[in-house]
Amino acid sequence: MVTRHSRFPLAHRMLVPLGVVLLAVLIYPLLFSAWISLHDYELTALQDVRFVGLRHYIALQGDGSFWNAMGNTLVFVFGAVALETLLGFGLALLLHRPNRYRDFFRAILLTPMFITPIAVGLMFRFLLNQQLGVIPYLLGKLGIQIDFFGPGLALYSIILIDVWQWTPFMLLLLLAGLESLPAAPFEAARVDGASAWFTLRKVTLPLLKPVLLVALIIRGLDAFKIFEYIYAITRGGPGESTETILYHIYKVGFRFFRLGEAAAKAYVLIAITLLLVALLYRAMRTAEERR
Amino acid sequence: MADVRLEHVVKRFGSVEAVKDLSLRIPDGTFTVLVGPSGCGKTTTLRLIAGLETVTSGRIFIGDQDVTHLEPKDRNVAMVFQNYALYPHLSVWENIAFGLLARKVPKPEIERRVQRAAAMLGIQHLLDRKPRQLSGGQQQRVAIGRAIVREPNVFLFDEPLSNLDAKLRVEMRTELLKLHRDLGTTAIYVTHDQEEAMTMGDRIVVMAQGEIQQQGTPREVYFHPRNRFVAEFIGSPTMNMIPGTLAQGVFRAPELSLPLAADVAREEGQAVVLGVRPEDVQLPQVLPPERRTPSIAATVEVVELLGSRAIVALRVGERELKAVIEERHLEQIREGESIEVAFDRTRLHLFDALSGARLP
Repeated sequence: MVTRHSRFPLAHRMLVPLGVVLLAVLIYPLLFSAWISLHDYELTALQDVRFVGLRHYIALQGDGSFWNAMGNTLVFVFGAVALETLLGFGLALLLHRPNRYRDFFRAILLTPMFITPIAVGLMFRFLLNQQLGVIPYLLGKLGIQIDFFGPGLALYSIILIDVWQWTPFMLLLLLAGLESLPAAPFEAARVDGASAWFTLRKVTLPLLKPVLLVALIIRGLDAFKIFEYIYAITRGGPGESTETILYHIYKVGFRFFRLGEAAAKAYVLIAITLLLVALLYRAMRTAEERR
Repeated sequence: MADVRLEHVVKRFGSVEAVKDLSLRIPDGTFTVLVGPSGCGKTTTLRLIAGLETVTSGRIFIGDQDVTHLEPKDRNVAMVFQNYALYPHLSVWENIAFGLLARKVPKPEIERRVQRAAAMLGIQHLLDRKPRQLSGGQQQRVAIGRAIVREPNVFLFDEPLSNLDAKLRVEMRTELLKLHRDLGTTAIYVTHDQEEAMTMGDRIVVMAQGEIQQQGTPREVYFHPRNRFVAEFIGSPTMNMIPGTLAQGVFRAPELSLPLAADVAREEGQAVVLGVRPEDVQLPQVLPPERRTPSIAATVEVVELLGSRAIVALRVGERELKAVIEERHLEQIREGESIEVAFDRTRLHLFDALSGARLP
């Protein structure tokens, strides 16, 4: 007994449950999806699974739908995150100033974040609906006719919905960042006669850069996973104009049952995401080193 | 160049009165030190002059201009902060030039002024570095350089040397004073360090609890403290304080009684506190006969040798007295032994026991 115990020290034995859980929910699915991405694995033909090598990966080159979805996703991520950052930063600057109603405004501005995205999607599906929606109705009264989910606009409407829901997140992070900055450089700038704009450019933004980059990484990664709005509102339409990458993979895997192909696409998505994270992370590291 | 005047300035933070009805005139070209324990309102006063805080009531003048409601940038003052407040992402050159860039001063003029300030401070070779590549002393010079190039009417210093080590602090004191002599600009300097105040100020303003306790030259404040607070705050080791009563020109305390000069005689039986600076407690033979009080028996408890002098802790009855004795007289003093000491009678201070005010 004694020898067995010394071969497996207590610390190692206590790690076993965690190892089992990780194996079951992380490593096994990852390996399994890697395996099926190399096979012709279709839910409708499970009795006939054949090894196809890298065929799914190679086929991606000519897969217009996949690249269309990737393009839509990038437009969505850059558009939404850029707007959210700008608005969030502007609001953070306003809320950072001493104001009697500060706590009230903070509470109000943060609420959209606490609604589940699928509900937000459904909400805006009705609010913006051309026949039933209150917003097109009011705009119509002003003589403005907009079909928010029409072919040219749908993706941008989705961006606006995302901005509505997630600007508060940027606001929260950037406000925390602003409040953690030392007061002295700003006081020095005031005494030195710097204008608000000069202080913003020369002091606030450079000092806030690390926080900004972290906020961009978190929000950018999250935006990549856009699914609920598409599922609740457009289902990728009209045509494929709002089909984002996650929705596309979902469609291939769970509507067309081509799980092998979907797994290969998911792996490509992981690679692209990791590359973006690495780039941003490096930018953050250099920013921190310069401090 | 300008003098600075504060008239009945009050500053409240909520229910706390940080500065209470403060009136003060700081003459043009002087180096004035505001000194006091933390929370005495000295930094708030400085920030009020800078415009970083707004007065609750009262007025502030710089030169002939009423600046009470002006923004900091319109007061033409420059401030040096305790933690330097350098911009970490900008080079030393950009840090020094910041105020000039912000005011859109022409480039050649900026270059000229930055070079001149850097030369005065001996930091020309550091202009391309970032603040984090500098030592504390160098960072402080950059902060001072940033103030100099502005060519302001008034320099404001908020405990600028307190983050430096002791040796560097003493060096920078001298350098700051030299700089002040060369520039001749009015300077207001805040510190909690009474020694720094004594060595640097043309004038000292001692503050406590939001009020001015005394203002004057370092000599005036040291030798004629207006009240017990100033007497105990200025000077190290602290002035010895002996509570007692005055009757018929004699000071009586449980441990000693001393006949005082006739002119300090007060109403009979008045409760007073006798103040004696440690350097005025001496071996009787060291003091000239006409200046020494009758001898007092004391027990030597501890001798702390500082080099040329020693701080000697004495026990007189129930009371501990500190004496500063020159090293060459120390051979007569041994820990645990009894000796005789006397006070310098020309340098005794009497304070009212209740109000703490100086009795003339």
